[in-house]
Amino acid sequence: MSGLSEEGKKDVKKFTDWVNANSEEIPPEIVYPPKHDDHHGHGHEHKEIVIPHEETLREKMAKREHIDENFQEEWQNVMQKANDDPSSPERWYRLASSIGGALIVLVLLITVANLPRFGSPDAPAMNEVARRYLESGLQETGAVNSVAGMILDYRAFDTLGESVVLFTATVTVIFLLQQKERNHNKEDIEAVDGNYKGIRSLPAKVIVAITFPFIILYGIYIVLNGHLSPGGGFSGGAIIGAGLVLNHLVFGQEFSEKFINVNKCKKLMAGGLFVYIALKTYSILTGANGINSHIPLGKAGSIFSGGLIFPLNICVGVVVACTVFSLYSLFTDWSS
Amino acid sequence: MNNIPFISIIISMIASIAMLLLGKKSKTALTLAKGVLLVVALLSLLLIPYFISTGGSITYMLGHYPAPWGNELRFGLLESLLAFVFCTVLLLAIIGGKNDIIEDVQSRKHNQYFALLMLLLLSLLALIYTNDIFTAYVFIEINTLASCGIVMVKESGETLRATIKYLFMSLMASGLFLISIALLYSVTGQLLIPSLFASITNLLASGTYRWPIVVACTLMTISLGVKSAMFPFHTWLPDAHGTATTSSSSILSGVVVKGYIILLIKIYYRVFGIENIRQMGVLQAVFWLGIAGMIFGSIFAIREKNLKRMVAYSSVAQIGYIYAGIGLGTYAGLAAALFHMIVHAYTKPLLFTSAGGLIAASKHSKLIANMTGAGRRNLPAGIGFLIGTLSMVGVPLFGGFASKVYLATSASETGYAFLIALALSSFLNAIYYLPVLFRIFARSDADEEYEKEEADFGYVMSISCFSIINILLGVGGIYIMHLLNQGVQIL
Repeated sequence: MSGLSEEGKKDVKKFTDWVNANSEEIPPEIVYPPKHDDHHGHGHEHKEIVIPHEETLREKMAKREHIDENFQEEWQNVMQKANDDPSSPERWYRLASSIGGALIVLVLLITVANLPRFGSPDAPAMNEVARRYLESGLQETGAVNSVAGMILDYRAFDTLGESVVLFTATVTVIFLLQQKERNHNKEDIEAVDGNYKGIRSLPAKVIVAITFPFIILYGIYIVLNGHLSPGGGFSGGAIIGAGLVLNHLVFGQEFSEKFINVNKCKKLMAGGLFVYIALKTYSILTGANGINSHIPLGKAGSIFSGGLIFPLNICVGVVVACTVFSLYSLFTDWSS
Repeated sequence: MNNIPFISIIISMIASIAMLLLGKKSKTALTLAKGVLLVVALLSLLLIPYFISTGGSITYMLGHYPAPWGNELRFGLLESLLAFVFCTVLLLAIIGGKNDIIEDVQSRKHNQYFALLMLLLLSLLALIYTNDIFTAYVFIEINTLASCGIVMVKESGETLRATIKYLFMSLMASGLFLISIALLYSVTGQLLIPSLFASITNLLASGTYRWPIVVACTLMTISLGVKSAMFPFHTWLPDAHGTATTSSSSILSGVVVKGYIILLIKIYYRVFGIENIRQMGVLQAVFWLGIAGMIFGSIFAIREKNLKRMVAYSSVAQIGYIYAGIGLGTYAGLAAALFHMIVHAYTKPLLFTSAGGLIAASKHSKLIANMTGAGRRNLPAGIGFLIGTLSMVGVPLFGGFASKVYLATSASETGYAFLIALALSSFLNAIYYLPVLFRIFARSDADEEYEKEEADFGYVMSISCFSIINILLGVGGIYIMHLLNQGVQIL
């Protein structure tokens, strides 16, 4: 230690501090200024310091591939054994599961044959429940599209659950696939095979460049018009998400991230769900306790009508678009 | 008062979303998770004395539209008691498994882990409280994804494989549940539980559409049977529960599996009616599958050399007890099965938490053969395992004894099969639990090799809370049984 130059000591201290803190961060980069051979001759010693490196993505992926290989090998062995040895349990297992599957299909077919005819006027499903949705849906919810009135007003709690399902799926996929924070892993991606740059075909680029704004616009139209015409948050959100996916596929990651990335998706999704929960909590608490909620239904057919359905559709649209895009980009970032 | 269930669900929903935004502040996420669980537990506790004094149940309209058109929650004594039990188990499981979470889960993902736990909590609460079969399906989906998520968090090869197995079986079961809802809807035109009951009773009395109703009932039993590890469908359980991180194993075995059993009980008693179920022969099948589970689960456990997998197989046997109790088809049998469920909800997490400590004290080896003296090195874990084992085997003064007594008395009128299976299963339990107990308290020559573990306050607290609750259930079980008997009457 004593032989180190002033700068070298500083670097060693920096390094030991980092080890002591035991943080997960990448160690502060140690910069060695080009050393002139000064007359003391001790200048090189600090080059022995080895910077501990975090497991890189390449190593992690290699490990995973190793697991996959093992699994494939094992599976092939099992299948091989089943093919070679006629008395092996796997063979019987395959036979039994085929027969079982066929039996279940048969039972379900018989069951379907015993059901009332779909859509016939005297089917049990045509009862007072469906009648009220269709006959007084417009007056009660203010939505011309009775499906929107059904899922976002009469049974809004189910739809809230459905949005939370999408949220749960995104959380689990982020958990599984996001190996590092985005700002850390730029170099790692490049270490594997570089940023995804998009496709080279010029016609595809031209077509997508022309249609992309219209796809997004159409998606927004379907979301906003959800209470007036067929569609709504789920379908419009899926269109917007598909547009973003198309953009990413054709123009590559860098360009696409100017619009949106997984972290932004996460925040937008959380925001959408928060607004949904806030609005619906208000409406459910007032409704359950017999208080008038004072939400104007508006004039049927105009864009600002349908009470809460209009903002709820926007929230659902945001959540769905973000789910579609974030699932896609989490899968592609590592396998592209 | 009647807003409590809805508010509990919304609080956990908001917490789960907030946690995703917390970034790397895992301490804050842990505190938030504990806080939410504590608040929800206390809120549910408030409901219990209210329902004891008034009796009956409350139906809660979600929104401005009454039941068959809008959604509805319904809750009474039983529901609030179960919500309280589930919240306390979750709370103690994360306090006790904290060290293993830090070790097994990447630190930047801690907040996502707690977000998944909150999602699990809200889906369980919704499953307990819902009065609408389609709402139940929506929250089953959340529950499935979140519980697969908490198995996966360790991100090792074996947990990923266990998760895939669990995910496939769970999703197939969700599909069967959806098919049976579709069948019921097309013959009755209803989704609300009381309307379904009225409609199904009429249809069965008149004999129309009998076959679709029987098929729907069978599919629902199979679907929830797969999700709750009923005997022949249990194959995912030892992998998932045996490889996950400690707190995940505790939560899955203590709580998640039970949520589906509660839903199945609701479907039997409130959708189809228990007499109709008996006529269809489904009830008898459930009874015999329960008996088979009691015996085969124990036999599988005897063969296991891995401690966590052994404890997991023991769950299969215990779930067999619960299904056999339900299969009796009497209110007494149901109350005893529910009591056993509560005892198991507190005992199995105790066993998993202490197994986690024992594994940590034997150089992270899960093999029972390597655990000589582990109970001495980590005394809290050893004592916890001792109490859990004594309860599982059925020694007087512990919860497991009380629940077996109630099951036996409720079964005594209906025949000897259950009693024989109960005795046999207790004996088999002793065969595989006692050798482990002797081994972990044996004096080991190599004690000096191991570093002595510092006892962690949270860990000791979690173990002692579980143990005390277990003994309280053993001593004062009669009071809980009284509540359950009252609760099942208004199911």
